[in-house]
Amino acid sequence: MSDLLQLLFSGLAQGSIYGLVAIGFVAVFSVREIVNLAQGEYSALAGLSAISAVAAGVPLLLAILLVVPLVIGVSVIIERVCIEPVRRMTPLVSIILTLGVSTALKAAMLLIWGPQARGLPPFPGRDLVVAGISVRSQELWIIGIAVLVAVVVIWAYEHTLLGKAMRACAEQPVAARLVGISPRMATMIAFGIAGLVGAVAGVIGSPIYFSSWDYGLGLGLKGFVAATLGGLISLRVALFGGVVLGILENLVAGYIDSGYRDAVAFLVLLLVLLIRPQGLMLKASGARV
Amino acid sequence: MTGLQVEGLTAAYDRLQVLHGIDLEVAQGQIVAVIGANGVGKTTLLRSVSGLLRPRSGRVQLNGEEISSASAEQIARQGLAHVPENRLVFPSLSVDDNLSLGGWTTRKDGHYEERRTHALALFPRLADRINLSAGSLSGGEQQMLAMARALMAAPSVIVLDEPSLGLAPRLVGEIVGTLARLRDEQQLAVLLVEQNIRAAFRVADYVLVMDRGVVVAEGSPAELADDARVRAAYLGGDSTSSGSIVAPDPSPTTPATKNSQESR
Amino acid sequence: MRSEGILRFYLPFALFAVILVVFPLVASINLVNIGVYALIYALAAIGLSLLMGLAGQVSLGQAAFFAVGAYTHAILVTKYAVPGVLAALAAVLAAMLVALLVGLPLLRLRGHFLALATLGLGIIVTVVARELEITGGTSGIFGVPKPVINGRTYDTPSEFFWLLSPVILIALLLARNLVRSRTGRALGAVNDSEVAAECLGVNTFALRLRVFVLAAGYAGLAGVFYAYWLAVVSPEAAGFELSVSLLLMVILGGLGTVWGAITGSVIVQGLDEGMRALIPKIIPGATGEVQLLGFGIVLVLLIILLPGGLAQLWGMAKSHLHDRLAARRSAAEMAEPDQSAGVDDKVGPEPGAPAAAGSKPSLDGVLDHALIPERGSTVLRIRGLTKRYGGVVAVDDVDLDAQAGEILALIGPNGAGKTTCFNMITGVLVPTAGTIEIRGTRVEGRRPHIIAQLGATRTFQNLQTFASTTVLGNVAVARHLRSRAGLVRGMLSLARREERDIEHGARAAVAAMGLQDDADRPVKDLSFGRQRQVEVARALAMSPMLLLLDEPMAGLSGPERDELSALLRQTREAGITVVLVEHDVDAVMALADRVAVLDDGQLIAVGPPEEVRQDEAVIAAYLGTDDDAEDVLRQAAEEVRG
Repeated sequence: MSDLLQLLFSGLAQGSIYGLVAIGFVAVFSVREIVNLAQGEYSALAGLSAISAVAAGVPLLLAILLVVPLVIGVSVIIERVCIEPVRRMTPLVSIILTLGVSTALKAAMLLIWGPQARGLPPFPGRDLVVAGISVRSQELWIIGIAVLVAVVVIWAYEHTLLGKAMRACAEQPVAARLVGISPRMATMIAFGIAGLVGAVAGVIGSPIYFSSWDYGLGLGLKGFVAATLGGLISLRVALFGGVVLGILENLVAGYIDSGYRDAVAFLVLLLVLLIRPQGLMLKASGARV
Repeated sequence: MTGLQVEGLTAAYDRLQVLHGIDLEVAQGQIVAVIGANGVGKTTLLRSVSGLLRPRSGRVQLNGEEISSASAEQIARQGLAHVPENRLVFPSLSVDDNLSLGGWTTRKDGHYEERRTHALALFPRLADRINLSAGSLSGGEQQMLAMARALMAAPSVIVLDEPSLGLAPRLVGEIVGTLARLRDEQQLAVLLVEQNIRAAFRVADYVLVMDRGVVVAEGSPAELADDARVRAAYLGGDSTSSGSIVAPDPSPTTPATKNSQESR
Repeated sequence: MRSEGILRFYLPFALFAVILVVFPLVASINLVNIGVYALIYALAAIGLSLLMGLAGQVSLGQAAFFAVGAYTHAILVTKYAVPGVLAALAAVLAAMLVALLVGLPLLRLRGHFLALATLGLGIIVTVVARELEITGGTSGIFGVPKPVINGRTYDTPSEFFWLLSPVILIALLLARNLVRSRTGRALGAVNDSEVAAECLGVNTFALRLRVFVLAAGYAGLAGVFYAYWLAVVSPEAAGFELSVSLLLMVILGGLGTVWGAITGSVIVQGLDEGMRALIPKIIPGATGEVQLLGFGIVLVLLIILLPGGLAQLWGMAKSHLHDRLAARRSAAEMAEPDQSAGVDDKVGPEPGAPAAAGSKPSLDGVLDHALIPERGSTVLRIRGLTKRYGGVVAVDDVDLDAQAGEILALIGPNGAGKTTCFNMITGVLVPTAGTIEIRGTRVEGRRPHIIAQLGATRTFQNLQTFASTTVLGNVAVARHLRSRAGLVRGMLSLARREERDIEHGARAAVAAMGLQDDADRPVKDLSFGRQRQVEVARALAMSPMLLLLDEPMAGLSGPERDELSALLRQTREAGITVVLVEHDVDAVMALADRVAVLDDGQLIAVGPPEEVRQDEAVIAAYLGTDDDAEDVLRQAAEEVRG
């Protein structure tokens, strides 16, 4: 029983990270129909940059506060330089484009930080044992911060005028232009949000899951799988999907074989796409967000 | 110069030229209707005016400013509102949110509440459904919402694409009546594309008949009423006596009615 | 079409063969070694190029099949002592089998989803290879012996290079044949317009699956040679890096061009070696797959600046050269004005536009295969046809029949549901309710290619020509159902006679529309109206029993309209049923035997043209009713007062 609880708890922490990454995928896809394959790299970049900053003597909190805007900036620059100039964006073009960006980012990180994986120092706090399961304080930080950031982003999409403008662009782009909302602006903001959630996921996860140049590939794929649960348009379902995926992975690792952990996401993806490609948990009513 | 002026407008989709030189003018406080059968270029005309389609040549002026190379977003900011074909409300957003997005270009001018109150007074049905999602509204209500959304930007010119499409006669009346009110009370310039000729004739001050990308007849509704050419433009055949429309050559055989427009 | 000369087709192969023979003799061992890898990866890249260029499927999992091939071969050779050739064969089949099994579910996906799913496949193959005992876990399998043929071991780079050369040449030749075959033509069509290809009877899913499996076979074969050459197979074989570099090879060479795949792999392999050497010199201490930096940047630049890859450059260079030559020739002709008058072939902007005025279009040799039902029998029978989108009813309970050998026109105001009806009849949309029978067979909700097999096809309101090919190429696709050659016969080029028949039938249909002068021009260079005529010619070439035309007159000039009307009358005389949606009411009234009027999704009138023209409901639908008007007036008055 306590084994199960332990797995559920660890899965929840890991899943919150996936949920954040999934939100990044949804933010971009819903506005521009691009699956941003560089999404995972944002997290690796944030983790590695924060580690370097801390190693250079910058306090942890300050390092994080510096790294998040940095990654947002990188994401926005990618959009301006690589996405904006393309006139006819087909799935093929967008995949090759973002795959190229992702590959270049990976290699750049390999050049700068080398092949070793490393972690940020854990955030302050004491590990606990509650009801027979060990609770690492970092996992509590992860769940807390991830949920906070996700809720703020979702709240902004649902309750601010800018958020509503983003949704309007996503669901009725022609009408959005007619009321004066610029799709170029919306795309740029979407990439900014993608950078934000990716960076946060990267720094809060780094102390436990470590950061390395190739961390982004697996993370990105899992975030994408979580996002497909909501048909790539629902932020809420993406967050929830991430949590479910994290828990499933931990159950498989715990009860079957930890080596097969990485195969879970792919099986879930297949299942989702085969049963209901428009999103497993999306109501037929077409409610978004 | 106020209102909307279009001169020699041509437009094309790739290799298909749809508009072959359109001239029209809408003054403040005037409703101009464009009628014609399917596929003659009426929607393309509106799309070229509002910037969704870049015109190939010709001039479009909004309140004296050239807008033919501006983007749709810029044109919206300059005070032209386009109520598109099929309404295109934002379906998952509430009626209220649709309205607030309608006021996107004027969101910082501090008159939001006034305009919202006014829009809801024009369309009281929307007030009853203010928190429902726009996608759950009926066709007529969606049309009203699309119009109310357009008005939230406080436009000086409004262009509408077949607002009567698929609506019950009663609702057509309501919508057309509102247009008349906007013209009379707010001195709006209204450019209306319609297939429902009789509705268009009742409300318009001036009517243009389009066929195959050109204006083939124009004048006041009284001048054009019972004109065989109007009927011919829709049903063909019947009026071979008047001929000009059914002839395969689409060169403009427009009667010289330009003067009547200017004299009014 | 086989308009390419034999020489032009085989000359590049001969040149390439010479290069392959000579290269190891003149190059250093190191270069030959790079060449071996380039050839190995080229095999996988050819498959990927076919899949992406021809079938339009983005796969990031080509490395997975590469690994399946490599592992199968290595396991069979080292653990079961299977002879090398047999093991290689088994390895290729294994890769194809895996592709078949994963392709069945995956290929139902589109665009982004397929790409991500195949990326996941690569990861899963790595995971499985790492976990299983038989694959040697993380360390992999060692000691795969070098190939031995007739007691001779091929273990130097040069020998291995020469061993690979004939394999590459054959693989290339097969792929080139495929591109030009019936299957290749259909795939190209699917890539240009899936819906049009399906409406001409192309089963897109089956075709895509076949190419997916074929591409996996190519990758599997590459894996076999990889295992041979490296003697080691480890989980990294399925790595992401390999998928990226294969993708780069294909994009760099130009999607769908077989020669591009070879060129791309040579360049990428050179780039790989160069950067591995160069980057650590610039940045000391750089280790690992740093060359990926270059790959990523090149991919981004390519797709933004040169999406067609080197093939695009090649095409531009060729046309530039062509223009230069033409300019020189015309300059020469200027010098001798007497001759130039007769040779000048620039007739005008639209060569042959009025269909060789005077010569009547004829359907000879076009409708040769049509199953002509008995005149007057019911060909199309629609009952209670309904389509709802949420709360909106686009088509509302429509009953309609069409008899053999009649022209039935469907008219109605904007948004009345005409095209929606067409889409349901041809299987493009699934009806919400109601039945559709084509000669007694229920077809509602079936795929378009099934309906095409029953003898019904259509044209489209928004042009759906196959933009990447010529007029003749477009029309030839319509002969798909009238020919049989499959993937294998196409690759072996065994269907020459059938190809001649296809070309013959296609030319007849092109001539029937008066398009013979444009037959070999790229269809996208034609005017909108001409492209419409191409669509009609294409539909006729399918030799249908039921022909559905969606606004065939739009964009046509007066004489062209008359011509089309004449042709449609001939089609009717041949016993074929024509149903058309048209806005040109004059043309419809003159042409149709019966007219059906849709308004707001409902059928409000059916009958002979003169009857329908006088129908009160029809007039009201087009002009608005008097009731409307009264209501409007009263309402408006109230509103203004209020």
